[in-house]
Amino acid sequence: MRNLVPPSLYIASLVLLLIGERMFGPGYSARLPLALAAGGAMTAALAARGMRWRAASGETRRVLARLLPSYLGGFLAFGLYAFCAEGSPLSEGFSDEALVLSKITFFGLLLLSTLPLLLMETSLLSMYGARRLETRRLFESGQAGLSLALASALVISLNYLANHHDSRYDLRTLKDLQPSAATSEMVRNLSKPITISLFFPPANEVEEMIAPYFEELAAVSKQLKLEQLDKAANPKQARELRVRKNGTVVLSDGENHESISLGTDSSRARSKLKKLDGDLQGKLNKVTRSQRIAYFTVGHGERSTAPKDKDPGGLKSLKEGLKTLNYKVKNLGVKQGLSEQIPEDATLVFVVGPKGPMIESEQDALIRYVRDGGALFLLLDPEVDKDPELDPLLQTLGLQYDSGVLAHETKHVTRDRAISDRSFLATNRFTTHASTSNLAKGGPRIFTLFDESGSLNKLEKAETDAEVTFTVRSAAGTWADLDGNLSYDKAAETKGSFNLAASVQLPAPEDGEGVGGRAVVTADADALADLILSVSMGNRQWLADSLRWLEDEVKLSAQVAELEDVALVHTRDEDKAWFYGTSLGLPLLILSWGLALRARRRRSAS
Amino acid sequence: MSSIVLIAKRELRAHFKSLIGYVVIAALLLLDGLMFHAYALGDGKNLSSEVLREFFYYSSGMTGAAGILLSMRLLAEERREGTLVLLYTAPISDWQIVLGKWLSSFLFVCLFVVLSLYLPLMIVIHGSVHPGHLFSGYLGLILVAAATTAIGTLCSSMTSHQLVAGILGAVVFLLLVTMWFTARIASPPLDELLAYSAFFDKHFQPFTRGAIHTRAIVYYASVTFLSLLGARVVLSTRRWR
Repeated sequence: MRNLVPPSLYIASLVLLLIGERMFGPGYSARLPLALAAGGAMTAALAARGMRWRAASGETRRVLARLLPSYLGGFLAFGLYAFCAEGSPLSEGFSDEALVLSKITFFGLLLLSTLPLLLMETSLLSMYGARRLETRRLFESGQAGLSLALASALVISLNYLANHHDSRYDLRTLKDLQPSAATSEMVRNLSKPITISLFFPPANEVEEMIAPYFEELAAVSKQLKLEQLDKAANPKQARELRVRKNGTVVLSDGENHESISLGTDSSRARSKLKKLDGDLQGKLNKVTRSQRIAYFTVGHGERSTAPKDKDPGGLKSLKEGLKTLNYKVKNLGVKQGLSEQIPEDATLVFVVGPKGPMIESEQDALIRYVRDGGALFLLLDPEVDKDPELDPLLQTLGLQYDSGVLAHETKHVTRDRAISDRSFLATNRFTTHASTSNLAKGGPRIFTLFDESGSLNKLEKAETDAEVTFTVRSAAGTWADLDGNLSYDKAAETKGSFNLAASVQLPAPEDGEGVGGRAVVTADADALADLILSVSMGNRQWLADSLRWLEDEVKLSAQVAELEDVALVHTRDEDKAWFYGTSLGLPLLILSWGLALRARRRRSAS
Repeated sequence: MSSIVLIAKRELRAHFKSLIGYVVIAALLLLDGLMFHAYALGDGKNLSSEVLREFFYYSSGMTGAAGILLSMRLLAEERREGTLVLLYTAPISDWQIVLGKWLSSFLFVCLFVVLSLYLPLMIVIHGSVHPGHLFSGYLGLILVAAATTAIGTLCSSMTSHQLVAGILGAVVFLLLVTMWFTARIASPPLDELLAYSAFFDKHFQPFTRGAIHTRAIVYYASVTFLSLLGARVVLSTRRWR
């Protein structure tokens, strides 16, 4: 009965198939001969067992009849392989679903045939030399193999489902990577399908860290599709999305692509991951929003968007921030038609700290623009050589400007540790308004900074029905320093809370067409200068909120989830106590307890 | 069920009747404590959740090693001493033998895991830890304990030498751990399969960060189930091999 040829041929066919698929694979010339050899070996194994069964009789025939279905199963599995193998001419014209189904059936059939077969052959081998064959032993080994195969198939299916329908429960309050409310809101409001492609090699830690973040976002809107790709395995998609290396996240709407490079090394990616939420907002804006144009007026000594010598009063950070929101920044002077009409493509006009007078026709153009529904960001500056003479514009906005520099004895930023610090105000007094919605939510920990600021007041007799809301106010106890000594002069100066910024809504034009314009005005041009934007989260949030309100968009926000964790505070002495207490204390206690119990048992035994 | 509990109780009692159980737990806690101070608290880390994450990471290694080492003797010792025959002749099934043996070593490792709770207490006192983070980390450790003791039980059923069983168990365990790195050099679709089979990096890491994935629970339960089924099949081979 000892016949090792059929099982040897069966195993050889599996090995040949494995070599052909794994070592060579599609496209290699050796794959086909190996697959054919494997198929030949499998057919020979089935034929050998079949012929032996046909020739046998009695108990031997019954035993071999038990083995034949397994060989037949293996043979059929190979037939399926010939159909569903990649590049097989037999599968041409069949749908992808049919191919996937046949692949699953191939694996299942092979598993259900091979395991019982191997165990039954082992059992048969152990009966070699016996006077009679025991069918019961063979039956039990077959059952054991079949139960193992079925259990494996069940476990594989369960794990497949679990992997593809994974649910994640985050039990922490502090999460190192999660979409901010603003990002989720942007995704929820997507008006067109966006695909986020994560290009990472298999088994990559960075991908493991970011995948839940993107899965959470993908669950927010059906417009967001998420795909995980490996550049090596998907060269076509990588080429289309212009991905040069793995470790890249690409956002695409089919035409426009924006990418974020994170790298594949988790220790290096950590710092980039902290900014991921903010970066993603910027990229989403670029992909989803049509390009907008922000004009900066020039020709009156305004702050520059391209400052020389790293001027802390420059607007480089503001310009960069606008770019991430998909704004194109342009200058607007007489050459560009400021004295006639604001360009029609203007989404927003910035007037930042003019130091010289702005002529009447220029102000008229700005007034017409804002009255006709335009958006204006006006930043005034008390440190000017000449009065910019902006009264007509301010009157239209229902405001008057007081250029007396504000100061406070305690609510200020320490910069030079000198009395001059008193004019570097910090305030967390915000009015609840659409233009400060996220800022007001930040609570008392978020401060906005104003360096040498003037103040704003509502014009008693305004030319228009402008609706003025003072959104940022200084802390109580601030005074306008009229004599320039930054010390409070009780006789001439009055302490109180001053208006630092205002949001103005103009009424709709009388002809009823269109909507009224909006303006955000602040009494300090430094509020959006590089020095302050680089250090103050409050000012950045105020800018984002203001832009959102000026554009009347809910989608736009730059609120970023920040990493927060509580630091462990412990002294060296405490460390020692904890070290001895925890590392040695408890183990010794357990050991002593064990010794005491053993001693007690011995005593009671004796 | 009562037979399973009976076998488990007998095994556990054997651990604690002699000094071995206490020595093993004390030694494991000592090593865990040293790792906690040397690695989790060392290296300049001072953020609460980061320290806790490191603690779970190192503890998982200790738990895995403890699982393999404690279960390697379960059936191998019985076979070597000839007492396995007594179990075979008792009115209990192979499943009950396997489950009872596994349960004893699983509970023993769980005891070690639970006793190690005093280590993150330092983070609770000096920093801030969310109970959910602690829960998820300990759930992960218990799942690791279940899977590694099951692997150990399977290897123990294959041989009559404890040492061989231990080495076999360690090899299987390391193979599963290194799947993550093997996946990096494999080509699709095998890479995905290998990455999914990785014991720590794919499935345990989220627990250390306070997140529970249903796929990780299914994975550890699958490893446990298949290993125990394998052990049962190995025991049953006496009837047909």
